[in-house]
Formats: sequence, structure tokens, C-alpha cells
Amino acid sequence: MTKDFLPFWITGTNSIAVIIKHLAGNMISRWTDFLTTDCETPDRYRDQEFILTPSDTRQYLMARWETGWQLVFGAVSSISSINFITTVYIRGEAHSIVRACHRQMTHYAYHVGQIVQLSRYHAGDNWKTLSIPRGQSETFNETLRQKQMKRKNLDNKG
Amino acid sequence: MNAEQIQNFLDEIGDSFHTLKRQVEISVKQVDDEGFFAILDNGYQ
Repeated sequence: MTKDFLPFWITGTNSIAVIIKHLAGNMISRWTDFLTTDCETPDRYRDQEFILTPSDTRQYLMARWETGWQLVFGAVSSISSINFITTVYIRGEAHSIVRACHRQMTHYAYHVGQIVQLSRYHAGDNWKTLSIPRGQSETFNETLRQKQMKRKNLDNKG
Repeated sequence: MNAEQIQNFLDEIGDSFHTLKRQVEISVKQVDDEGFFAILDNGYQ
């Protein structure tokens, strides 16, 4: 697909860099002290996440991305049966922990899909698919079937 | 949910978050700097 033939729905989109910046900003806001304070932190300037500045190098943005994810994983690992009933607030809206996690999961998945699609476009012919390559589903399924049979046979022997 | 169910939920949600992170990192590694910062625009509004 050349640039001239881009369908209308893919034009004028955010760059990968901007989506990374937005997701990192969201994670840092949402998961910092998420059990005790509103998950839209006062120091977040969401609109700025869609504007790149000279300091937004690729290295810096990927470091922010990593920071955001470490907050996500840290927060999830801080949840237990003791604090599971805590009500979480996002812009003043009450959420159960399950709902808050689902809200973030679907939001991230939406943008991850965008990033993967943009990456695929920019990588061009060098793109290596993240899942089963086109036209190879049956081969993949057969390989899995054989692995499962092998495991089953080993289990039976054991 | 009992304690075991809560832990299962947290483990699964953690795995899914890890998958999303990995999908992006594998994808952007395949893109050069030009692509990383590019805004697609063919002039169509």
C-alpha cells in the first residue's frame, strides 16, 4: 500500500510516538496510588500527550512507556483479597477494581491495535507478524495438535 | 470472589497486560525512527 492509496480512515492519525506518549501518560496517572487517590492525577495534562516536543525522543518516550507499565504491574501486584473491595475513582467516577482493570485493559488494547497496525504499515515488506502468518493457520493448528498428542502420550507413560 | 479467585483474576489480568506490552515492543522494533514519528496523511479530509 503506498501513501497515495491510504484509505481515508487511516489518514491524519496519531503517530506511533504520540500513542506511546498518550498511553504512558495514562498509565502514570491511572496507576499511581490508584487505591487511595483519584486515578486522574492533578499533574496530568492529557492534551499535551498528543503533542510532541523536542525532548520527546524515541528513547525518552520508550522510557516513559516502561515507567508506565512498571506502575501497572506494581499496582496489580499490590491488590489482594484484603484490599480487593476498595472503590477506585477515575475522574470522580466510582469503579470496582475489576471494572477499573477492564476499563484500562480495553483502552490499552485499542491503542495497541493502532500501534501494531501503524508498525505493520511502516515496516512494509520487512514486517514479521505477531500471530499466525496468513495462510498458515492449518499448519499451525496441526503443529499444535501434534504437540498436544505428544504431551498426552508422555503423561500416559508417566 | 474468594481469595483464590481474586488471585486468579489478578494473574490473568497481569498476563494480559504483559501481552499488550510485548505486542507493542515487538512491533515498534520493526519500525525505523521515521516510521515511529510519522503521521499518516494523504491530504484527504
